[in-house]
Amino acid sequence: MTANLRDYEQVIYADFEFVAKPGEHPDVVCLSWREEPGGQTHRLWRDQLGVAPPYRIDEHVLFVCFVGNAELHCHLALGWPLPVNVLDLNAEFRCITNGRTVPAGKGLLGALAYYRFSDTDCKRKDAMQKRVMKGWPFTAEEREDILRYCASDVEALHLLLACMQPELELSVALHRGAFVAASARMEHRGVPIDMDIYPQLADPRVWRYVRDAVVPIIDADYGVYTKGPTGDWHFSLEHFGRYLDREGITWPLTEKGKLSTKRKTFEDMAKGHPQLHNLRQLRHARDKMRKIKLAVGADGRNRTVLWPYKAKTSRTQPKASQWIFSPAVWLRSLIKPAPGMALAYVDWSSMEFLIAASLSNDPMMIEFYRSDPYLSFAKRVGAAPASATKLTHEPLRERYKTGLLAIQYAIQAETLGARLGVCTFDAHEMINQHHELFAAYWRWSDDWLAHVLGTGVMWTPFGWTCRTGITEFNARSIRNFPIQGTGADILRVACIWATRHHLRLLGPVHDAVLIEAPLERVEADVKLMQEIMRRASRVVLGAHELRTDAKIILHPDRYTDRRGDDVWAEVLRLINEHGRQEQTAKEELRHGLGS
Amino acid sequence: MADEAEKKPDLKIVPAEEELDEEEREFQLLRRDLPGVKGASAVGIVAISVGKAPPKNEFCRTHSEFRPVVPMVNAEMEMERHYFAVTPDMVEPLAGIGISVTDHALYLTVTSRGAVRIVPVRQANSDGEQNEYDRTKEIAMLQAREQWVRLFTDMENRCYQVSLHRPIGSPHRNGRS
Repeated sequence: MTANLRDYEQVIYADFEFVAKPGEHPDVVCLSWREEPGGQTHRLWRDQLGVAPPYRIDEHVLFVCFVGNAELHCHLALGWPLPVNVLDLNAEFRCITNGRTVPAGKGLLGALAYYRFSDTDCKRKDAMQKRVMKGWPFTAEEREDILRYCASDVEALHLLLACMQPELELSVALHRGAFVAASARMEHRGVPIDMDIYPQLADPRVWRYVRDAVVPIIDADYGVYTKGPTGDWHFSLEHFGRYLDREGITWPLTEKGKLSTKRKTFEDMAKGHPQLHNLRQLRHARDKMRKIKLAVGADGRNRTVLWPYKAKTSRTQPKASQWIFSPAVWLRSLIKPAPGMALAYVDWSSMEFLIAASLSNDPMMIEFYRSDPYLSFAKRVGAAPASATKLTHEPLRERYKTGLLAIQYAIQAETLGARLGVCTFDAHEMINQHHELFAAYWRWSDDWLAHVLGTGVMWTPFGWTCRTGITEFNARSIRNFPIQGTGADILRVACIWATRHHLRLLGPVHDAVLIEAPLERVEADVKLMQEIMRRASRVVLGAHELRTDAKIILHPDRYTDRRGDDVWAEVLRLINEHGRQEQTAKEELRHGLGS
Repeated sequence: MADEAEKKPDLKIVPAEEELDEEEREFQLLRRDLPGVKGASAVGIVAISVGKAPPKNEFCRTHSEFRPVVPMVNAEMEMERHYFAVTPDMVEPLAGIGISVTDHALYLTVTSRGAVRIVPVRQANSDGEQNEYDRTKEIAMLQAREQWVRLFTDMENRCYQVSLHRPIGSPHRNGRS
């Protein structure tokens, strides 16, 4: 790998304009690129684009772009191969400014403004983007305007790289670029969706029916929804308070002393109290899913921009409403392999625990990882019998998983107690036991905190950096950053590596990947993926290796998630019920007309 | 699709102990250690923090010269005590909103296991009054300049007691001061 810009025979700055429709491949409108050395800028309208890129993409050329997953998705949509060396200035800009305030945003204009080039006309850029998004047809005048605008973005890229160059570490930047390319492939492929069910669910009439009819069914276990005079369902805080009393759950309060109804509170509490899962999903469906906005293309694939490096920890962060792996877990049952194909969900076991163990080199944590660390901890604090296994004590294991990871990031005893459903005194004791058992981890974590506060910067083993002290940052976030960031590093190495070996990655899911393979090859591909994931963890962690689990879904089965099974079953039943009602209504109408 | 047509190369499944293959080496070149792994911990310093007293049940020593006196706000947040050093021009505005600032002497301590900690000791106020805990803690900090000491709380007398470290065989081993 060449690690200096001057060593490349050519540098290509490229930008596409395209029409983006939810779930579809980008509909390329035009392309502009600049070649260095030489400095010529070229512009081509879609009808002038051929079967191969009009520029070099070999190993001696550096391809420079901004939000590379979008540009490279255009390459794939046109049937072009991807460049060997990708430098995504958006990823680099995010890394350079992570934790700093960026007054004009993290887009191309924001990046230029950050480097004090503010003469670009934002209004014109917005207007041009809106016009392109409106789509075909374009007048001759518009065509010329769009081409000129596209070329101006390429010039901006050239300027931006000149500004950023002193801060770039090229070898690491190219590694990030390789992940951007892998993300483009994932966006291009999309996740297969059951097109027998999805169109019904996406029909606003059907969804409105399901969304209302599911309330009394799910709420039967809780009794927290009330029907208003207009027939609408409302979440009643008073009833919810009574439910919590009945269940003996201590719930976090707002500053005013009311029960917190934040999405995050429900998410956290449901981890410690699994009986709340269905209620959490019902609330999400009521509050956040007035429409099903999943981005599904005509070919039945869920595609959305994955936004690599969007989170402070560099994790990928696609738009939740458009992405199938969103908080609505039941919706994931829509994932179904196409005929002749299989899917596999391969995830790392207890990833955050081993990362913490490895970074701190805590011998006790490493020892705990040899078996199930969460269950081992529950046994250690006397919450589970010595004979407990993942199968016999799964709900308890889930609670202690939440608890153990929360303690790792210095949760307060009161919050931990509420989350686990134990008294504050027991939570204190649990935290004390954690400190005693994993003393080496705590020494490292304190050292890391002191180092970060002293230097004002933190980073991951693969160079993702974040400044502290300017934007809001608390001690818990600082302790959490190396764990999450290292996890993201491992995931990126695995995705790049799997892409090199032509595994069909469909999407990264926090500490897992979804892959697709023909039925006859799926087992071999899963084995290869697991081997790559094992090695990726070894590369990033230095010495320790993470185990992996795989769940294979063969056509015609569908993906299932235990947490969403109940809601999914009800949704399916209600869709069928709605279909029958419609059918009856049609028949009655026909009979009425006939008589 | 462009990438699907290419031939799928083999990846040999090898045991973990075997030499890393070429690809693994390539990725490994990009890796660097995080601080803490080979940083301060590796040279014996395991924590630098500020706390109201040295860690419990651990012998400590204090630096023989380090003793700056700084105005500080001493606040209890949730279950922890936090100390904020205050610049002189902030003393008056803070007093205006009811936050009192008092002088604290800072002692730099190190435990026998290598934890470095700055221990603030509240000084006597303008009337010469000083809390008994602070007074006895300061005695301990000064003693720790000369020898290893261990603090423990004397709840009945509402003060700190100091346990001195004496060599094995000494007639006054672990005797209190």
